[in-house]
Amino acid sequence: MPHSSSLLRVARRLSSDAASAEDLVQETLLHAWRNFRQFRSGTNARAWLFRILLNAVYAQSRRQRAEPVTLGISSSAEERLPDFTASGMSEFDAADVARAFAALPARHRTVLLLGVVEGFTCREIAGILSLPVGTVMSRLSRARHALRVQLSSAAKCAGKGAS
Amino acid sequence: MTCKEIAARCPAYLSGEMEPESARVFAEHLRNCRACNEEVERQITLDSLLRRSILSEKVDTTALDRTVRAHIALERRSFSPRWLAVAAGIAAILLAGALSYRAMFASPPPKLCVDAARDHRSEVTLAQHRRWLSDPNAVADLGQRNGIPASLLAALVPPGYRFEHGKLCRLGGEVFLHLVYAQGGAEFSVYLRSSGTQSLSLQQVQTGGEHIAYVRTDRYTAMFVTDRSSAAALSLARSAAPALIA
Repeated sequence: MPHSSSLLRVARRLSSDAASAEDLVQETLLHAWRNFRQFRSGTNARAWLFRILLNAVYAQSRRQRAEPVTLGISSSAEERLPDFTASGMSEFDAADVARAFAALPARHRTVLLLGVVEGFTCREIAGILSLPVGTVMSRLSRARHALRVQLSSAAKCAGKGAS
Repeated sequence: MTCKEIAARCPAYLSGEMEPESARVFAEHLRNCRACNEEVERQITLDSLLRRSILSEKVDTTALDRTVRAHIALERRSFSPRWLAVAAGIAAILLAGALSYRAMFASPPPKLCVDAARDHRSEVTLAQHRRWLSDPNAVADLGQRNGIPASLLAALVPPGYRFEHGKLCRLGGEVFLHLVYAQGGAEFSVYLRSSGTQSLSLQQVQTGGEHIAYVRTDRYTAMFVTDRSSAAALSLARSAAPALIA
């Protein structure tokens, strides 16, 4: 099915378990098939699919009354950006980044998955999430910041990323 | 542009959405401001790390795709108003000739039909593809080697359909040529074999969700399998019957 790999990859990072993620993608593809008349020809079909997926994710969260995962960092920690350099950052491996990413709130994971991993523009993300472009841009900045704070914590434990 | 504006507009710069003039001013600021330049470099590195981390995860959607296709096939044949209308139309057209087939409708489904329905479901509806031949000439050669002339294959294609692919398969211990034809998203199967029997009959059967028109002439056994309706299967068989009898 078109885009099912991308959809499943994102769903896995936003839902509680692998089975739920598959259910969400299945629901998304079937919804798209049943409501294909709603798709406006000439617009971005991939963005349309992700919009359906994100709506399904939100609906599932509401059903499960899931509390979003919170980062739990203090305001002072937010102001102090970790001071490692770009070359110091490259010491982190995929597992370090995956752990730090998993600890982020869902809204941060969502924009990073759409913008950084799936390559949607801020304008496209705004369409997918029904948010103003400015909100998407500030949310992306905060999400990148939060990821660096998480990596900073990991770096302190493992002695990585120092400049 | 101030350092604060650079920070605020960095996401648009990184996603390549900045207007050319703004991008030029942004890049110029980075050349002259070491702190902003290093900050943007860190963000680019972080994005690259995140992308590599997430994309390194293996994602297998085989089972998921199969489930979705099966749901779509099921809904298509159960709820499509368009096909219900087509089936109703075909049924109305066939009404006049239905009496002559009534006795045959009551016949129990031959085991071959059950096997054909199962094969159609796994190979076409659920798309558990084996090795298909999509080159019509290669399929024609395959048919020739199994006693089925190319002219018959050409004559079997109903108006509006196109040949998709074919292969040999074994049903009830006998080798059949399995052909798949499509019209838009709808597909049907024809299972065909050259036979030496002297009987001539046409049966319409339903087993599971598939509708089958079973045709036996003095030279061929053919089964037309579709998910749509009994009327559609019968229509396909009637369309091909002259070629099978000739």
